[in-house]
Amino acid sequence: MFDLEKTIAAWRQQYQHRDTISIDDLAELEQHLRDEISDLVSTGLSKQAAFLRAAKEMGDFDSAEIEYGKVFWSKAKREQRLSDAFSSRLSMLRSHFRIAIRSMVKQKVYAIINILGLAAGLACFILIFLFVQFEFSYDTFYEDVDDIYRVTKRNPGDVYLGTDHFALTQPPLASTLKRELQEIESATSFAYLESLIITTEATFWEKGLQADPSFFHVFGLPLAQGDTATALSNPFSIILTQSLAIKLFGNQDPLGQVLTLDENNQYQVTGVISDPPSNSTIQYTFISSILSDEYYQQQIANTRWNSNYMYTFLHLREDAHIASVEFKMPALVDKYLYPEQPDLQASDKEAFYFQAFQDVHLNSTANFDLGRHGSRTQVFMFIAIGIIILLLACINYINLAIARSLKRSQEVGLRKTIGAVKSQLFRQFIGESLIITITGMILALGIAYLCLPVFADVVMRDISFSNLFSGTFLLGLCALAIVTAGISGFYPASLMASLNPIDALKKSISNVQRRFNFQHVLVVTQFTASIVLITCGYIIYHQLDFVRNKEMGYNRSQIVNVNIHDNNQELKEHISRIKSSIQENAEILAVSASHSLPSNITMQQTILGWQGADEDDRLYLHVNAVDYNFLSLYEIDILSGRSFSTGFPSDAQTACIINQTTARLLGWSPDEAIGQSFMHDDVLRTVIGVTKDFHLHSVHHAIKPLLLFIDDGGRFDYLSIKVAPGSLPQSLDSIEEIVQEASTFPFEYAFLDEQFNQLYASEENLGNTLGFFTIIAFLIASLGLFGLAAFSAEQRNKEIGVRKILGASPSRIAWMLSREFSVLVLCAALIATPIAYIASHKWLQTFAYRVELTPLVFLTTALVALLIAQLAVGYQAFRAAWTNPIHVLRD
Amino acid sequence: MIPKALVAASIKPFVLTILSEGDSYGYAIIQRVKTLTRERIKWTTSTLYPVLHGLENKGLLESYWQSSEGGPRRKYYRITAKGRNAMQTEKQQWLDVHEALMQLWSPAPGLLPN
Repeated sequence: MFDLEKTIAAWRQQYQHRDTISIDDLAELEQHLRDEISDLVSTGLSKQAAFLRAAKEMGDFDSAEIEYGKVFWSKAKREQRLSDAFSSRLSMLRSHFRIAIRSMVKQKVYAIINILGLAAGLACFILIFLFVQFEFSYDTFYEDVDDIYRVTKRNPGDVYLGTDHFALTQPPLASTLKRELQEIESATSFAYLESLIITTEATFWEKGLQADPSFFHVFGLPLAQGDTATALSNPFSIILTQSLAIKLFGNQDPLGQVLTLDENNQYQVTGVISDPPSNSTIQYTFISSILSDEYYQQQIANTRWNSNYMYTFLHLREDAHIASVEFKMPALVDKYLYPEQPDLQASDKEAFYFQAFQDVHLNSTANFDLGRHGSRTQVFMFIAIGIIILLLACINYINLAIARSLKRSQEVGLRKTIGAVKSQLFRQFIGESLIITITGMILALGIAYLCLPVFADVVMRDISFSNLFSGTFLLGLCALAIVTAGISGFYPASLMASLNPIDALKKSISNVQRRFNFQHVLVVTQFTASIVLITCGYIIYHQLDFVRNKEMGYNRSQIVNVNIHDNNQELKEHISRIKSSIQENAEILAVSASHSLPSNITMQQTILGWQGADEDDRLYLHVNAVDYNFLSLYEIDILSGRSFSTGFPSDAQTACIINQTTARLLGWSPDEAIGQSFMHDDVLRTVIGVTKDFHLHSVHHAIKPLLLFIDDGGRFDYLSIKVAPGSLPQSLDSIEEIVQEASTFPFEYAFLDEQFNQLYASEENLGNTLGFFTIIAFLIASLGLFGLAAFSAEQRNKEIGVRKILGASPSRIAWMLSREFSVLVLCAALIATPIAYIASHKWLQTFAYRVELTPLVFLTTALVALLIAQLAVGYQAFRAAWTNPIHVLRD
Repeated sequence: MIPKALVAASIKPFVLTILSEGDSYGYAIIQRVKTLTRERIKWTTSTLYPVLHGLENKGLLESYWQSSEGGPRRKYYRITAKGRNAMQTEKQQWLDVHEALMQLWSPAPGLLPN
């Protein structure tokens, strides 16, 4: 008997285990067979006959298998492709890498130029980044820094160094604000205090703070030892930083120890605080309780508002806004400062300003401000320079890659012919730039590491390399490498990937001209940036040179200044005796004591009641308390009248000497001024002499009116000693000996020359930094030009050969090659000149006395740039010019 | 009998067009073509199924298993949007050839036999 199911099972078996027919396919075929059979059975056939016919109609196994196989393999291939995509990409990456390394090794000079250029650019960028990061990190370590504000004030009419804005405020300000304004959670005031700290073991000169008990409420700083709530509550308590505690007491527990400040006050250590980080605006080694200060106690007790010597900070309530404090301030000013003058104009009243603590470091224009300040302009200028230098390095890469693409076009053509697609080639070239960038980055990290100490010194910041190894920074570095590789690799990669293989293999150079123009634009860009930098740098040096050689109106050479500390009463009392004992030394030419040095006159007062003055007329002028030798020691010229003299007893009481500017402002000629009188500091003074104007401050500021008077010693801050040339070391020894006999304070001295240079330290830093970056910029641009010239000479070597055979001299050929680059540099100079002019003109405006910007300055820098470019091109040009033409023409 | 080459060329338009009328399975498609051509085109399984699988691979068709009204499970095919586009292209090509041939085969109006 025929069993249909068994037969179908047998039929199925034949198809099973064929590679190309899946179980699913077989099921489909089986159902087809069954459909056919049932149709045939319904027409009257037997099951057996129906099966035979249906099976036959389905065709034989072999042809079925071939047909199925066709489909199967295409399906299999697709699946294979998907699963292999990852590993094939990996092997592609390996191959890109191998090709990149090979091409680098094959073209060593090219690779070295690129890597060096990128390394220099990236190193600058990293250094600048570290600097910028440091500048923006100032004071960010306080817990609630967003709620902390600093108070500054405007003193109408009191213009000092160009501004009437001051960082110093009155002692009662903090407590008054706290009491009157509910927005304020706490307020504190503190002052700097330089002190001699004496323990049983040793004596140290330390710079610290005197702060009120709210200091820790406002700043929220923790104490390593002690209680912030009580550490400053009592007079004569002191908190030491950890490093000072170790310096003073070693391993002993500092808490409860007693030490002496400035010889007469016993302080007890009530706390230890960790050292302020280097990015803290407020720097100190100790914090003592200001309640120990009698003067402060008086000021607070009588709520006197006439003395400005404290820094005031406040901590806002979390939900409060500073605007509401600012809104309420004028009423408070009226209430406390001007209770009896309700009609005073707002512009004549003192005004208070609130500045977010975090902004203090980069935005400070107030006089006598805290800490060592940064400049927002400088930070942004540095960022700009960093980006420009990095772009210069990227341009090098682009230019050299384009130049080299001519040589590599055959490689590209061949690759395309054997099946490389555009995206693959693009990836390969981008990969090459990534490898070069990463190599450059590693080198750059090394360079930055080596340069950091010098750089940190130049920008005067305590920047450490450890900031580099944070996660975000490393991530940033990776991003930087990718961006750099992208900028430098994108254009050359897309250029080469899109080459037509036939043109490429034919060595067609139809696009060369167009590409060369693009390269020209890039070279001009590089040199424009370099020339702007060099011009600005040159002008800064020029101005500094001008400043140093400018006739200041006093002689600053061979002068040693010894500091007289405010509290150093012994020295002040015995000043005349000390002066004469120093004077006894044969090497000492002159000795003088004064309040200010002529390079920076800091005291300002008013005079009134001169002849012809109205009752309200006041002249606000700079004053200096001096002795009889001041004018002669500094060799300040007298225009009319005479200098102070001991021969006139009244000189010590009522005489004064003014400068030309004062005389002019009061409407007198130098001769007319003699014998005039006016009130100064409750004394009727008579003018006995008029000095020629000399610079009272740095040349940023115009010469201001000045008044000199004789003081008996109480106000003297400096002892100036003029020493004979060549005898400095011995003289210093003997001066120290004499001064130290009368004083327990440490012997501190400085040379006037150095103090003078200090006035221009920030400009000098700017000049040095700019100089450093200028050198790097030129180095990168010249490297690029060097490489470009090499390619240009190589590309034209046949032309050069023919020219030589036709009789061109080597020098003519060298000229031919260097000419086109010279034109580019001159174009760059033309573009750079107005940019540099505007930038330096703006900078020079900060000086009251400045150099002229002559065309010569710009001509000089253009010539320097041209010379550097010629050096870079010259080597290649001469090498090409001196090659035997046979060698190039034989190929 | 229609030659093999023409049969092979017509499979794709047949399959796509039949499926555009509604989802169907292999056996039914063969039967349908058989009826339409009055048995002049009879595909074997080894002709149709590899084509169906090939069209599926190319994304012109989709397949799914389903049993109709308690009957046995069959593998149904459904035309995709891409498949419909392909069908329009095929249709246009066949019509172009057809139209050209018809112009040649239709006698000019004046020469029509009476």
